[in-house]
Amino acid sequence: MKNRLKVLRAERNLSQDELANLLNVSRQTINAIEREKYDPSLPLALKISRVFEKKVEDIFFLVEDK
Amino acid sequence: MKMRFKNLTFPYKTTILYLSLFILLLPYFMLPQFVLKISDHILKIILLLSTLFATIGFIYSTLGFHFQILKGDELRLRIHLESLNAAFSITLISFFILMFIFLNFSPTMLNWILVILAVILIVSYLLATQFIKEKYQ
Repeated sequence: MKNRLKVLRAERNLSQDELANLLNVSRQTINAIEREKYDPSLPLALKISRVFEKKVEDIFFLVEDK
Repeated sequence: MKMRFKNLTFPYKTTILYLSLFILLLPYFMLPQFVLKISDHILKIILLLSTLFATIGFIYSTLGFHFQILKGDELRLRIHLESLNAAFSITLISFFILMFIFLNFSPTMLNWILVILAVILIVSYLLATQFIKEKYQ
């Protein structure tokens, strides 16, 4: 699964730490999601979408294998 | 009941963990100097008290870390669960190997199997945590 978290965070001038505090998770979690090493749980994905005021599917999306 | 446990913060769990280990080992370092001077009865009471306090401490810190992980960050919970999964599989494999070896070649060692498996479980969990942490970095 791919995501646009890093871009959205940069657009809002948020650091990983600040976003982690807003979402009540660790900075390592944000880092792992941005690097696409970890897929967040559905509640966390919904929280992220609420912070960025976007739909979940605008932030996280599947890339089809070709 | 479960919710009540979840809301407890279990303070000083790391300190209590180290203190429990210290209390557990203390008689083995202290007693050899006095073992000839004290009666068997007192010796048993000293060992009973040290193991009792250590057991209570270990249970407290185990519960504390368990609920800290459950309430905490989801990536840490994921790392914890994957580490437990790996540690459990390693321990189970070790159990079958040790049972085969001990039953056939050294039946007296069967008394130690729980201790050996506990050490394997703890060490494999700690190693697995390090490997799995790297996976998510």
